[in-house]
Amino acid sequence: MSALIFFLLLGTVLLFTVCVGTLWWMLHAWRTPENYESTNFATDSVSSQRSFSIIVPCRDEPYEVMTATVQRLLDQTHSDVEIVISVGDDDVDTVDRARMLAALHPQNIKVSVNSDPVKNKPRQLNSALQLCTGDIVGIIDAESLTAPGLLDHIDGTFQLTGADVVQGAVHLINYRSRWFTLRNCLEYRIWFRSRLHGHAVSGFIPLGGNTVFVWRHLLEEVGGWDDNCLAEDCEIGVRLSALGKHVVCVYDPALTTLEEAPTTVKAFIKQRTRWSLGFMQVLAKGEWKKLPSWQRRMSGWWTLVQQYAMALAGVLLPIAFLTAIAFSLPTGIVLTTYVPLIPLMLTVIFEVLVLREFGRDMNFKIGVRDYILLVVSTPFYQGMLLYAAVAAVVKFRRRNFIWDKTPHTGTHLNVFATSIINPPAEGAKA
Amino acid sequence: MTAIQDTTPIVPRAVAPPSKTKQADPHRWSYRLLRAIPLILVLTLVAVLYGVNLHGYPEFSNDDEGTYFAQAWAVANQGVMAHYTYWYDHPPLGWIQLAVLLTPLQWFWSGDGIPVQTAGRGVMALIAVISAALMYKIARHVGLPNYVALVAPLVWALSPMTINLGRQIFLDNIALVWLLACFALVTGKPKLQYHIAAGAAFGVAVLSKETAAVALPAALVALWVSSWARTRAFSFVGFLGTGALVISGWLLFAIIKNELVPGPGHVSLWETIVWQLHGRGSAGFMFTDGSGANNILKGWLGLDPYLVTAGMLLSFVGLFFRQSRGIALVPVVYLVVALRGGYIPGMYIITPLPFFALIIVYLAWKLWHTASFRSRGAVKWTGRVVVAGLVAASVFAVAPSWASKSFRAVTENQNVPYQEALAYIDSNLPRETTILTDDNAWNELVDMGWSSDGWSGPLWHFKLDRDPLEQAEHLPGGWKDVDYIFTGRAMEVFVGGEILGIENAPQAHAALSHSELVKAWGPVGQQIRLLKVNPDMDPVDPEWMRLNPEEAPTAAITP
Repeated sequence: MSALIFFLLLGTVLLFTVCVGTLWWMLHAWRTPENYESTNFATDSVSSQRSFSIIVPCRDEPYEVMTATVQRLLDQTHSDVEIVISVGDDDVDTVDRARMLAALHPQNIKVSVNSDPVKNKPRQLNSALQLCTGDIVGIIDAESLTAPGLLDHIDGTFQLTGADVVQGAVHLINYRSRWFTLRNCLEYRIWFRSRLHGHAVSGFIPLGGNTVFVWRHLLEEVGGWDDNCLAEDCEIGVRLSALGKHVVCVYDPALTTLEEAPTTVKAFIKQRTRWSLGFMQVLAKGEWKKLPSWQRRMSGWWTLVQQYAMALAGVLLPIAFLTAIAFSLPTGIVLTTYVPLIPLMLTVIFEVLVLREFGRDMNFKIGVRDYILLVVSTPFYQGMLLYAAVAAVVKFRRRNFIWDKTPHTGTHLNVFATSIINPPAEGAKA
Repeated sequence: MTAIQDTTPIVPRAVAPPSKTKQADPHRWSYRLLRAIPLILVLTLVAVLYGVNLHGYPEFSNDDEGTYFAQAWAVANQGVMAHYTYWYDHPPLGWIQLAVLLTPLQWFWSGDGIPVQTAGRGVMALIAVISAALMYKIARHVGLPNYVALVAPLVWALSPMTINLGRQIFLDNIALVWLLACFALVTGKPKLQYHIAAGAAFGVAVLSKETAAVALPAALVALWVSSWARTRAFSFVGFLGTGALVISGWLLFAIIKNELVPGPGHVSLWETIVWQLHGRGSAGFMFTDGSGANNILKGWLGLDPYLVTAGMLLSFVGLFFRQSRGIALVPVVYLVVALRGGYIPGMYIITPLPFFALIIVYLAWKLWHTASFRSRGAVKWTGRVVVAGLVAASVFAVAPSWASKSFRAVTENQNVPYQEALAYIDSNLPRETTILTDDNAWNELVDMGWSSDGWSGPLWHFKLDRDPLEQAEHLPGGWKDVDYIFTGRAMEVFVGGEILGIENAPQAHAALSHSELVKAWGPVGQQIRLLKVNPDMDPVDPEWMRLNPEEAPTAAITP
């Protein structure tokens, strides 16, 4: 019994730290007015100077999904943009679609066909990089809808901040497709609206794989993406952080890139497992150990393991609490196991507020139903995250690093059609 | 909307920190220490005022002091919430904190002939120093300059009322320090982590003494004033959510013990809350002569008319200024709740006291500031002279009585009879006797070696009639099984009154009626007495006996 109590208390202390740490990062943008203001700044004062090469990696994409993505890139207000559609030679249909689009816009679109025997996103990106001629290389995923002013804003950000890398914001928008897509959308919202900015300030940032912009010469210097990493975006972020490169995150509700959340449990878990596995690869590769100070190494390590810790905490904490009650442990012990549940429950309460802000920024009508779903789905969503984390560990031990691509169905196009994406000006709403 | 929005856009800062220059760096520890000297001096004065002569002033005349100390002792030594069955009368966190701090502080406040409870008062001294520091912080946050901000904790700490109540072991003192922490966090920079921490502090304050909850509207107003418009929703949710989750720990405690709702054979949180809200006798309207609340008010005004009157009146003025609105609202809501009627304990005034001091100092400075910066020439100097005159007059009016009372507090020993009585009992009474007494002496007797089971050693007079199940088990003969009665000042005040009257406490009354005086200490009418119970004697009126000790039947004891 005393061993049980010891482990329960030890676990409680650890999980409390995990929960408070997660809450801290999650709330970064709202923590102080300075943080809030620094997530979004105007770039109207400068005119665009750089040329852009946008890589659109595609695989098994429906034609309407590709067209929508490309069309939005063609509609950019920025004048100097080339689009490189990156496809694999085994995916004949998509190659055809890409060629068709290139034929329609020969001035703006190039097609890069990757012929490596192993197929994955980093390899496609690397072959596409060879065709890029712009000053800045950006990556826009195949199912992403960009806002027309995005590249102008990114250009201005590079000029004003002297950044080496600029990370734009991505939002999932099909929040009513399935029960778990709401939480998925909110996760993205928190990540790009708040957390990523905190990571950028801390000097260690796992980049996102979408709407990320890097100087071409810098990409060539570091040898492009890691051919075998499943989280190539995170991996290159770690390497750039270790080199001390200046990463700036921008967030403007009007300029977020819109994307589709996986719409089946299977696809969601597949995607999560791939990411988890990728993070493990990055952790195992150890580039984060090259970060300049121990604080940054700690922060890097924590960022990489945090999702496992949180997936575990979300499930283990209630279990620990119920165990303490079921075994009729002393009241003091039971109450101690309750303490970490406070930040955990606070996280959910704050998520409700973030959802409200999300609805206002994106002009979505978030109803009572959505708020209830958000809270009720929490344990089940946590369960899926834990499952994906465990599946990733199993795959990692078996050295199974095959790229399981998330299928796209185009549900975000419907959401987009039914809502007005361009929200009113910032000053009007608060 | 706010100043921050009007400034140029904030560009994300570079990762490398700016290089520090070696010149006058305000973050250097020596520079900071130098600047902190005035504050350190003020806090030292508070430490002396609240930490010296704790065994001598004030009298151990309040049963609650003993109760909280005994409960803390039970937490530390027996691992239970109280020395008798815990019945949710107050949330237990107050005396749990007391229990945690008690052991280290017993090193400072203990010694031969010094009551053990003195160490509990030592915890209050620590709390007074922290409270004073937090008051300084709040004063700075609402915009007072450094040296003016130091005056607020001084006004509070030097008031004879604060000295009297702040040196006693009251849960309100413990709740107050958390409430001040809450206000210090809320009035600071608008950072969400501060507001979350403030919510936690507020929760702990309520769990230390439930009356702290009255301050909630004031805390929310202060939060509204200092939070940033765009993230205000986050601040409120963070504050309220954390506070509620912390407080829910108490409900959880009751649920785990299966004592949330009434049931056969156990106490319950629900019953106690109903009793606290409806069951306790109303103290009546505060300004009706002769009502209970009026007597309490008179007692307060007797201790310190200046701080209470000036503070209360100026609190209404303070509501008109944005910066001081939250602080001024604390006394106002406490007044409103008190005027509703209902039960008011004497310690109720403890919470508004520091806010009185803060508002007085804030408004005095505001007046000076307005005279200095809003006007010119003759008007300016007239204004300054008027303000300076007002302040000087107040100081002259208050200083003599405050100074003499402060001096008495740290020098005079009002507990000499009590200490002599305890010494007599220690050397003359056998340890296996049952002694009906108050909760103050309960602690002393247990410390001398009597049983701590509550029944076969010292027996708290309140329990003899109010816990019939336990009484039947431990004292089958009822009051006849009691050997001695030791009436300390805390019990003496109830003799002849309602609490120990024949209706409310037939057993205790019977014991008092059938007892002979062994020895008495102190002046008649305010005595501390040791009585021996004699079931065979003719009953005497306890009240008559209290006032006529020289005519009372006597008994001699042989050690």
